[in-house]
Amino acid sequence: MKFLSCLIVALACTISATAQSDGCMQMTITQPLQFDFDNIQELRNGKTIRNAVEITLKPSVENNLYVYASISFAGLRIPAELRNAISLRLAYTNHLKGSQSRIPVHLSQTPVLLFTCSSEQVRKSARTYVFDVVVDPIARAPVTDCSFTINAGLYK
Amino acid sequence: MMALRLFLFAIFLTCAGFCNAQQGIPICTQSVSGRVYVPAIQQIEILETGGGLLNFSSANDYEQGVSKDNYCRIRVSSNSPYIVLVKPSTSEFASLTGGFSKPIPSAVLEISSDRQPLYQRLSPEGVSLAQSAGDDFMQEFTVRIRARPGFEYRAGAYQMNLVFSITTP
Repeated sequence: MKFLSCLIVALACTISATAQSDGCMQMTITQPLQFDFDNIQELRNGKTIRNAVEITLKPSVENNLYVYASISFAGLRIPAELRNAISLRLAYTNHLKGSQSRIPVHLSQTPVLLFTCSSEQVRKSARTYVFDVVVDPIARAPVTDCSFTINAGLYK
Repeated sequence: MMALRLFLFAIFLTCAGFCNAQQGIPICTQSVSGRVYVPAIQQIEILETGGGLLNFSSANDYEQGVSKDNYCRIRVSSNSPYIVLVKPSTSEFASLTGGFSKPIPSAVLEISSDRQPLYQRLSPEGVSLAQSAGDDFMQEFTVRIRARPGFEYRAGAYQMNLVFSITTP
């Protein structure tokens, strides 16, 4: 009986810890991620939506953190040129330490490291990371109308 | 029995701790969505022109014709099937020097390109200079012109404009 009680208590602690960490990161868009290409020049130059995605890490999580991102597409005709053409470029952060680069991070189906953040800094206050969303030149893209989803995961 | 319970409990705690620390499982995930829209886009540019003056200086020129091999270069950009047409802006040449002359029809001028090497007489409906399924996306080609007026028309200077267009077949 005592064993069962201990087991229940331990299970409850585990569930509680998981529930806390569920709300540790938020990713939102500050403007629609709508890339409309109207002419050849736009296809040749690519397009950027500035300050479009915001990731906020809440100050409740522990350990060193890694944020990975990936992308998936949906639609009838997804051009091969587009599959690796979308990237996230850090535009702003209130977290000056840790590992963040302004070099665009190209997204693919496989999660890639977006940035890292150390635990002490996270504990003090929420950290905000604002990203530009960049579509590289896709001059040879055929007609398409597809949607994409950017997925971000927070890892210890 | 107590030892067994402690052993099982220890295994449970170890498993719980391992699952939380495992690198391959995210603590939490979030996602945002967007859209990419690329419609059918077609563009035609005249890159350079070698000039369109055809000089007739001998009887042989009138009879055999005079041609210009580098009349202009055309760049076509398209991500969908296309056809490049050329049409005369008017059905006849306009006289620049005046005086009575039998009207010179636009069909006196013939045109060809790298993509359609055979000369074709101009017509009001347009003459095809290139066509594609749209998978080459960007193409450049040279346009050639030739005129064989014969001896039916009065000497002088005559002019006509050509209109290049790209359209979906």
